[in-house]
Amino acid sequence: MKKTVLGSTLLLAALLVPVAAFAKPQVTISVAAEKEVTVVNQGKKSVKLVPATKISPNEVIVYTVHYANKGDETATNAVIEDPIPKGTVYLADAHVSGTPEPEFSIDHGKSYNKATLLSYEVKLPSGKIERHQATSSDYTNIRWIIKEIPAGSSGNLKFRVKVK
Amino acid sequence: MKRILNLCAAGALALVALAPGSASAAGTPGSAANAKILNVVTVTYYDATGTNVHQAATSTSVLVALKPAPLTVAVVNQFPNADSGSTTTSLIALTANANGQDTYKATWGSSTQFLVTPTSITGSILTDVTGGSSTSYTSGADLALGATSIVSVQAAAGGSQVINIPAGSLNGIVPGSIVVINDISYKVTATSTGTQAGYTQTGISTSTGSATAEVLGTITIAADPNGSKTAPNLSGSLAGTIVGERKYLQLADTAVVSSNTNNGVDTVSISTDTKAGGNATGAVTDVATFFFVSVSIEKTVSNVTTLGATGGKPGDVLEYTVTVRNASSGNAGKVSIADAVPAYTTLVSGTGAYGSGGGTGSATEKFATISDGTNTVDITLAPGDSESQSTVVGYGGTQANAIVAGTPITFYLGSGSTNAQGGTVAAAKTYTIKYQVKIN
Repeated sequence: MKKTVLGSTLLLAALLVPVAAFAKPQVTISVAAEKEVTVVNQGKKSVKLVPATKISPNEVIVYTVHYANKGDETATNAVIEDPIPKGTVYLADAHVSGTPEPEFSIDHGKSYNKATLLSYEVKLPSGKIERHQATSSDYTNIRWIIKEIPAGSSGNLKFRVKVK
Repeated sequence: MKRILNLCAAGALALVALAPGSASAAGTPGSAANAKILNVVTVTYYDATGTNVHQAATSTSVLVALKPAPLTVAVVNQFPNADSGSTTTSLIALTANANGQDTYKATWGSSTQFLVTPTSITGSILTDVTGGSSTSYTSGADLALGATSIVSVQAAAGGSQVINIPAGSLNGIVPGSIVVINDISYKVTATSTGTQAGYTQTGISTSTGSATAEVLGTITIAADPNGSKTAPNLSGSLAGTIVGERKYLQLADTAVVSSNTNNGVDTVSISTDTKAGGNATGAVTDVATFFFVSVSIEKTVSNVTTLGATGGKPGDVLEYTVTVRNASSGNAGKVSIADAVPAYTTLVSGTGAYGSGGGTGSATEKFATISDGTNTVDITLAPGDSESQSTVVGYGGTQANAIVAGTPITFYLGSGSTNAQGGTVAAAKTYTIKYQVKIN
């Protein structure tokens, strides 16, 4: 396994320049921070997203990660990884959209799993070890694995955090 | 399929190895205003053959906004009771509870009883009870108070402790500031602003950038010698706890009592709000009491030649006793008594104690005594020649050292009196003046 890691690292270094001459994928990435504003129009309330440059404690930031393959070849096995920003707590709710389903880490990216499968061990005073289901506030990182990003395609991935 | 999954795992691991920017997760904990929330997102992908790995990363940052909060207002030193016409001073602590520096306003109003209105109230803002700066402050003027919030605390050592705060979030707190953490006041001895996290790539990115790790800001605190006097020993998870600056509002109230039977009362109510409004505190009252002053005077006469006689004949010596009593709880100032040698009499003066007679009207002749109930002094015709007094009781004299009928006599009473001006007759004190005249 370790060999594989070294191998890919070396490959990256060796092939970055030469590969430019051939067909290749080129994935661009951007991220936008927005906040929700409730707008009342003719008595109807609606939630609008506006760019967030300043945000108060306990307010919610909606991050939208946009990826696009601007190259001429399919990108494969793309991993989009985003540490939950310091000073914020991940919010688990229906607002998370985009496919595929995200995976989360509770150990700063060392390991990932689906939300429902994340758990951690707590040693009780009695010495007994108890297994707890991780909650969204335990999440340290979020990632999405996209098997294929065909040339010319793009997508959005959203998640929400609450400012501590 | 199996191969793809394996590569997937390899990609995830390679991400950690290749992307220091995302692995160090640049950003700021805590919710202090101006803390930077930095989000760095990285994509790692392969080409169609699954052999060449590529990476791109970008970032976006959001600053934490000020979340206004009402001040905590507490009267530290109430107005001490004061004499009518004098000034009494109180101290009110104003403590910030927001997550950042904000502009506030303190306003005050008076409700008076038995006082000549308007009373004069002047304000000052002190950065500490003593030793700080003092600036004049008018009711409703702008008042800036700093505040931030804790990320973590370092171990206390040698009577001081370093508090870690988000980089760039000192928010007006400077060395010398008094800050309050969980209701305990401390004095700030040093500060550092730190370095905010950064990432060189923003917007639409096709490559990775380089990350700047956050260096937290610090506030070093020590015991507040004029406040809690508690050496800092913070521990545990204090993330997000507010560090609010405290300043002191000093009010100086000067008023004159309009009654001679009741103390004057100035009920001062102080309230605060943020300058923008919406964060008002309930009014705090601070009561200044000014003592009314009531001095009574009584003059009695007795015939010392013919004891018990209700009148007198030529040649008889009459003794006058003037009693000055301060029956109030306030001190009377600049007390002087105007009297005169009665008609058809001559003031008795001489070299001995009062009443020795034989005087001809020269400056050094004694003619009266003044007693404050404990000490008694002999008074000469010229005020400047009166007995030397280790405890000043009073002075007095006649106009041009004369002793004939109609000559004005003046007495200056009380501590601090001189041969030209009256002094203070303290609350509950009684002074007695005695002098004699001979009927012509």
